[in-house]
Amino acid sequence: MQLLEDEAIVELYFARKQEAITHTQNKFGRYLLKIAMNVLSSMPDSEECVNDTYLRAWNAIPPQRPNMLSTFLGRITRNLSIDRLRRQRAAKRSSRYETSETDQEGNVVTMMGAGYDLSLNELEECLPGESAPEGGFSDEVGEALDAKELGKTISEYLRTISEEARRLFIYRYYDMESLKESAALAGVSEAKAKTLLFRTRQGLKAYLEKEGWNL
Amino acid sequence: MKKSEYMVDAIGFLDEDLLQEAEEARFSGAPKENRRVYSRPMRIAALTASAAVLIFGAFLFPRFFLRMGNQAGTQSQEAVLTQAPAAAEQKSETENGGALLTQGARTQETAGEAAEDIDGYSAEEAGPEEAAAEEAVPADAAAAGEVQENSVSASAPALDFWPGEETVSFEGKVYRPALPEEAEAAWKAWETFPDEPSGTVSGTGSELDGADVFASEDNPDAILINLEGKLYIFFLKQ
Repeated sequence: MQLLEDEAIVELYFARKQEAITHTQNKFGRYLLKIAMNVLSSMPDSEECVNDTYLRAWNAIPPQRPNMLSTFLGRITRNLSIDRLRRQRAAKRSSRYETSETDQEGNVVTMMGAGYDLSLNELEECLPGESAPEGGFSDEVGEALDAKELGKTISEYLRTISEEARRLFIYRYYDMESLKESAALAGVSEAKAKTLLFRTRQGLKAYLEKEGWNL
Repeated sequence: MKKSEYMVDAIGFLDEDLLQEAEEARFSGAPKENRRVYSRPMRIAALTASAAVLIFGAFLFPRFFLRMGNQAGTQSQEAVLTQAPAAAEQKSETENGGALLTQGARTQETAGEAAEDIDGYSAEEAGPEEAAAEEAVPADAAAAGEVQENSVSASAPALDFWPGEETVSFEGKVYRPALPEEAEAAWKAWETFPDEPSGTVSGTGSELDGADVFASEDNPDAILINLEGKLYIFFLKQ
């Protein structure tokens, strides 16, 4: 099947033609599945999230008209995957959701949400102030609003650094790619990627402190 | 919610243009397999090395071979220029020597024939003019022999005939002037010409007295007398 331009696919959505889903799947299916896998580390859950993404897109377009379908769809997949992971963890509250554990022979077994947890651990050092209270924040609506504001502040900071470092940050903490994959996508060595990410995190922490973000 | 999870949520709200920038690079960039292999310094180094190899290959390498070729050509040329004249000179000398020898042999034959012709006449039978010619011909023959002599030894004096009839003494032996027909055979038998005189003539009472004598073991019955640059053959008087 021929790959259509984003505008053509969006027009199919607007025309309410189901081929829009087929073309979306054909063009962005693997990409979206990769984002879901980065968060969930589970193929069935990831495929389910991607299918949910198509449904969300079908419902959102129209009235929305995204400029770039990949970022529009990727953001939906990312949020769906994170929500799914959190729901599963909240429901089970089990140690099997740790990043990894060893089996009886001492081999490291990667568990569900490993990529997400690795990104989480690295991002923790970016946040100024004391740790969040046990049990997290109580006001979920307030959290969401603050997260959106914090996202804008982070965007402002990212505009102050190099494109290379900016892209690396997005691959690693937005798409939740592995360090190796992020470095490859940014076109740098793994060692350089690690250094760039560390400096970016340190710079972001200082920037958030300066902007009054003290969580 | 943990602080880090809060941070993950915040990153989910990054501005659209930043995400587009990253995703455009992801989808429109070079194959990631190509980009992940080398870091930027390594790629720059590889490009520099490739450029250097290309420059060397395109510019220096042919010049190197051209220089090598020129050197080889120059050496060959020098060798030819050095060896060719020597070879030509050697060849020329050989040819000249051969020609001189040939010429000398022919002249000698001519002198011999002339002597034989002269021998057919006697001074008594011929007139005064012919008698004078008889004296003159041996001189020509001697001049002809000079060529052969020179071709054999540049230091050898000219061969001539002693016009008188007086005898000379050398080492207690008496020698008489050679006749022309005798001189020819004697001269041919004279294989080597001594560099230093063997002694001097004595007891003649003529201008030959005190002249240098060259004796040779090759021809013990003859001596050569050198007088004022001319050679005269004398035979042992029986």
